[in-house]
Amino acid sequence: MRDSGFSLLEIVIVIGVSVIVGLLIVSILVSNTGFSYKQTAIVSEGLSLNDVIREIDDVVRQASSVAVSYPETEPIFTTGDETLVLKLPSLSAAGNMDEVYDFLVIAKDENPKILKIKIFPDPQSSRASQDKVLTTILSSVKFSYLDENGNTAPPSSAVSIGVDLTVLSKTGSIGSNRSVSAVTKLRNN
Amino acid sequence: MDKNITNKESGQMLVLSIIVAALVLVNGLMILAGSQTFFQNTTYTVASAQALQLAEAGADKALASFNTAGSSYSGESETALGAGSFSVAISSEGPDTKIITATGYVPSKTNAKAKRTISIKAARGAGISFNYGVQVGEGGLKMENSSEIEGSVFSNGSISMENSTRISGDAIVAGGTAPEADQQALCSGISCTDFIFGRFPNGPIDMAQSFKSAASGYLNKVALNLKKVGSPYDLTIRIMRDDGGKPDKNQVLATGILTSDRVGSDYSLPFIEIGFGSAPSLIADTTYWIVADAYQDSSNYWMWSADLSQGYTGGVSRWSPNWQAGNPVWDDTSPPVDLDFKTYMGGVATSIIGANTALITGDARANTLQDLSIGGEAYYQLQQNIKVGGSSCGSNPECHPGSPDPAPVPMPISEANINSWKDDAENAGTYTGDMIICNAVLTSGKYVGNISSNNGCTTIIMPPVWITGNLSLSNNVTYKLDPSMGGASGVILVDGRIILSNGAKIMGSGSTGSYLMVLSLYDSRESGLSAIDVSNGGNQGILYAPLGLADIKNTNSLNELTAWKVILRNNVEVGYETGLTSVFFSSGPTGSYSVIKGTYQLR
Repeated sequence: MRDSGFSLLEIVIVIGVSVIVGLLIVSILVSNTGFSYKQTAIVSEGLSLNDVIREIDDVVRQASSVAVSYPETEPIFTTGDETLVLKLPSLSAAGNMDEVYDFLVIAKDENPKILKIKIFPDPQSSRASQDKVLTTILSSVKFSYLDENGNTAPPSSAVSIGVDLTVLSKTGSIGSNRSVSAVTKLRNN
Repeated sequence: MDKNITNKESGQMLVLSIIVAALVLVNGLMILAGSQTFFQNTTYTVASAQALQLAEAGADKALASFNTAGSSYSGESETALGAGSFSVAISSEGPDTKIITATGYVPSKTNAKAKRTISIKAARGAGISFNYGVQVGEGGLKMENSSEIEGSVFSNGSISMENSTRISGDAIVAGGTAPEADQQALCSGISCTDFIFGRFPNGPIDMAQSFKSAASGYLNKVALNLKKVGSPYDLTIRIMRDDGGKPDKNQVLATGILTSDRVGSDYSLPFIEIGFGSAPSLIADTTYWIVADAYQDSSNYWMWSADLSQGYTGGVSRWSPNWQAGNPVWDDTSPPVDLDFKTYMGGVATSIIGANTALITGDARANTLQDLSIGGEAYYQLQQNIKVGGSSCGSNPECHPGSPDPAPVPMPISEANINSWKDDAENAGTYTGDMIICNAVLTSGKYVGNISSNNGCTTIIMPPVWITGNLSLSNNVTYKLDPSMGGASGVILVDGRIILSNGAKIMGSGSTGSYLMVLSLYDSRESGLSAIDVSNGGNQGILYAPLGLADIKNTNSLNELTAWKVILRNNVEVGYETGLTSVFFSSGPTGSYSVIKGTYQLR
């Protein structure tokens, strides 16, 4: 009885088919993982943008004016393209207080990917102090200061604040930028 | 043996495929879960923004209802609007102040996916901003011998500062305005008609009148002959270039706001002046448009006095339902009319001229600066002998030659405000005869005659009070608002002169933000006599004379001073209070409700 085996041709065909199938599987895995990373990054960016814009919109609405700096003497934060210092009417049990203000700062942290909101209440105010991270995937932030007609104005006379925000989310080696813009009027101005 | 080995290896590809499929499935599920989270978050974000807009719509409706239904409006439980609904709750804080709490729901109150609540306070009266320690009209400011202003100064006329005078803040002098109108359209007699705008949907909402200036230069202000029906929203007045016989929406040269409360319900007021943040530069014999941008409201709208005879040959009038539309439609007015207007050009040189020790600690802005020490920066066309930050100009970076003249600023209180206060006072009762008042209550009303108080008397004021004669307070007299006024402010109108001497004090109710203002309507431009005369020290208060000279002598501490012309003599000090940026004047029971600035709260 002759020992039956694979011919060279059969082995070559099997190896060829195995290589093709293997490559297909690896390709599916790689593209699927990449797609997953990309979608995760988009979701993360979207969630971050939604939350940050909502938070900024809320505080700008309640502000009386843009402050040049905080503290007003020997300032640590100065209003500009990347830093916004707002004056909010201080709070008491009866509501907003007359001519007493809390200061709110939105600025980049030392780590430039972190955008923070800080509240410095007046001693008479019942508003709590705050030092809160708005996002940890900041790419850029730019504030603009607008007059009644939407034209650029000095910060101290601005009645609306525009914000252009870009976040960069990276999952694995894949990342992408996503931006949003909003303009909010100071309701207490 | 071989056969067995073959059997053990069979199915490996299937296992591998299952593992790959599982990984793909897990990744797919993670993406789906993330997408679902993102979708829910985005949906909530949109709904939350809609709920906030609905809450603000509810507050707007409440305010409008107060002004149509009066104090009988008590809120509403749920009113559907757009993508959701709103509810409004009303509470009172004093007789003239309401707290409006409005909540927006998406999609409905019973099934709210998003809910936002805001609150504001509204009160009867008029909100008025005093943005400067001293504001002066075309008469200008003269500071003598060591007088001092703690706060900034804005003057439409020149400022002169003598030895040891000091302005602790900015000093700004507007470019002078030509006294006569450069262009004007005026109706007369039977050629006068009303042109209604801002009333009907798709009808005339925005109005425009074209004109050509006689000479090139800056347009400092326009004046319009308007009246209102109800309480329309503020008008935005723009100067635009011409685009083939209609306003060019992409070429807005200047913008000014005409607040509704400056306009009366008839044409008895003079033309209402509107200034601009920065004066537009016009070229002679070129067509420009004055465009009035209104909101549509069938109950609260505007009327513009118009000339049926079309006596003005430099332009025409047109209307549009929306000047900002993609391709705005502008129609001729029918019948054709000229809308009554005046334009006033600038170009009259104004100055701040000091002496050796005259000091401005902030910025100085004027056409010409001379003999001054300036702590901030200097903006001018011409300068002579000024020191900025301790150094002469030249290469000094804090000197800004060639700066345009600041645009004039109108007085903070309009004739409409004053007339409204007079109406309220007259409606409260008329009292005839000269009076000497001591330790009494001066109730709201029209007092025909002179009123005086002296010798340490304290008088409680229930505003508005209108005195047709003179008001004289001397020897430590105190006039103060009734404590029940709370944070609201009040006014005493005086047709004649106001004379304060020896420690007369004009005070608010005692609550924060409450002030009592005495306002003289005396016209010093003809007589040369002062409308407000303050002497012999210790006097306090907010003083206002839109047509008059305020002559302040000796050592006095005033909170704010606004007049057509001001002279500060011998050691006078005016100290500005920051609360004066938002003073709310109660107008009595017949006034309309307005939002009190600074009371918007998100809850």
